[in-house]
Amino acid sequence: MPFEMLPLKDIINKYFEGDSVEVSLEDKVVRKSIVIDPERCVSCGLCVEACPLGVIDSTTPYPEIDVDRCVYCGQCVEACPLHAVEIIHLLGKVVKNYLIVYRVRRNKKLLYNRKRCIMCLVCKKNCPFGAIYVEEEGIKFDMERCTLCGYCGYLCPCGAIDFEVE
Amino acid sequence: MASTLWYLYILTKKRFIKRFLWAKTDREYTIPPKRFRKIPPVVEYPERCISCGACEGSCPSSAIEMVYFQDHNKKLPRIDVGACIGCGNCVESCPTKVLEIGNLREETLSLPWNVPKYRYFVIDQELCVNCGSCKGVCPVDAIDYDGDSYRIDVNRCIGCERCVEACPVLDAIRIYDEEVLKEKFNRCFEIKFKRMVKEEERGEVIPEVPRIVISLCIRCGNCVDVCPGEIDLKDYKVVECTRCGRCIEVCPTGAMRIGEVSRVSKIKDRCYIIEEDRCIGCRICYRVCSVGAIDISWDTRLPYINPERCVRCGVCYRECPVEAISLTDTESSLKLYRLRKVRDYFESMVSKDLDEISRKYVQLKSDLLEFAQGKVEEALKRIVDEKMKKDDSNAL
Repeated sequence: MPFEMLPLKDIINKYFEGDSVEVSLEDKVVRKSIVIDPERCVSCGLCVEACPLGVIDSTTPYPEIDVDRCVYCGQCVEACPLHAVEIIHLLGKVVKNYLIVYRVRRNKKLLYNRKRCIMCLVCKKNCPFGAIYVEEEGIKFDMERCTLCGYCGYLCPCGAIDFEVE
Repeated sequence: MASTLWYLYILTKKRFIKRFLWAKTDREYTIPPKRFRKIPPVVEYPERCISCGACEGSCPSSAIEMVYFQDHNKKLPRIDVGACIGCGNCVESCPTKVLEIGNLREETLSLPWNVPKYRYFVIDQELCVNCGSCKGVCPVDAIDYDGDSYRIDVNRCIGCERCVEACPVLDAIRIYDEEVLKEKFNRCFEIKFKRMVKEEERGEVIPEVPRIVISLCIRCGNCVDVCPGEIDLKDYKVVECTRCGRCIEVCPTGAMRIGEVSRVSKIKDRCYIIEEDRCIGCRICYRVCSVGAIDISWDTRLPYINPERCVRCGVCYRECPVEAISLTDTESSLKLYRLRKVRDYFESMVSKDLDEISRKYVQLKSDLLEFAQGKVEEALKRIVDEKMKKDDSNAL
């Protein structure tokens, strides 16, 4: 369900003056934000414990999240008994001369493209859950540990890791 | 009396002395000259003859005619015995010593031999395609290759014109004779004289500074004489030029030159063609072609010949390792050339367009991504702000 639709006429006109060109891009733009609802929060501290990276600071009246270091894994969302933590997940896509912005909830499935992978192992070094390991046939994902946070897909320099969203 | 005696004495004395003086010279006059008058020459070594026609040209009484002989498979001199005056010119002028008259042939063999010349041959290095046809046909090996260009040794050349016939390019071997030299020298003097008496008419101004073709220059100095500026014949350079065009007028070999000269082939109706089903694509022909007549097709990646530039020198034909090049009529060669050329042109046009579009597309993509990121971030900020505001208002 599209959240917003923006026409790209100006940019296309800049390069293809008046030509009828239909532009679609494979690349997606993903932006996330994490918000703690101060009304619901009771400062129980469960989210601080649940965070695998320790980026949540237990302050009053409600905890603060270091947004620069957060990987939006969703552990705090699951841990919160009052559903006070929310991750807003926006996805921008260029389809047929329009920028369509979707609001999506969570990643559903991890897609790994071995052909694109250059074995730089940036994903393995940065995975907050240690769910990535190396085998002869490229890298493997331990799906029991993986929380589909999408951080590896964001880091991957060659776009070998992709996610299917709900 | 005394005077009579005196006269008698003088008379006898003179006669007496003269008798002694003449005795020797008279005897020398009786020795026959070394011309074998009324003895016609004979063709002694017909197998050596190169059919150059030097004997025919040298005969003052036109007694020699070059006639084709079946058993030797070439032209040999036939001597009209009745017309021959036995001067021996033909024996002396023969470069390969075919003819014999008395023992004149043996005598001339011992002499430092030089063919008397009426015409001279020079190779135009700007037109020469370095195919080596002239070197192959020269009967006396007067043409040498110095690793860069072919040159004719003037002393050894016998003027048989075979190189001119064999050369594929029109006017690449120039001929000049005494008559041309004389005419040009006269013209040179005329100009100089007119300049001296200040009557020189101003001619047309040539558009550029002329250059000197080194291989054509015979260093006659005509150009230096007429030039109002300065020409350095040591380095073959025009130092100072007023663009009067006099040097071009007086040069006997056309070594002073302006503008480009194009190579024109002598053969028009036939042309080489590359058979594409035999060609292995080694591109040796492409490399050896010195006139740039061979292009590589985008489509088939095989070479093809441009008949309008090709001079039919046959270098590619000789160098081809699989004998894929053959001689056909120009029409079919031209047809193939046009087909390939149009195809090439089309391909290059399309690829150029595609290049431009893809370049634009890449720029567009980066711009679009930047735009999308900005917009998505804006939207996200808006949502978060709304949420926070709602929270704030609820809290209040």
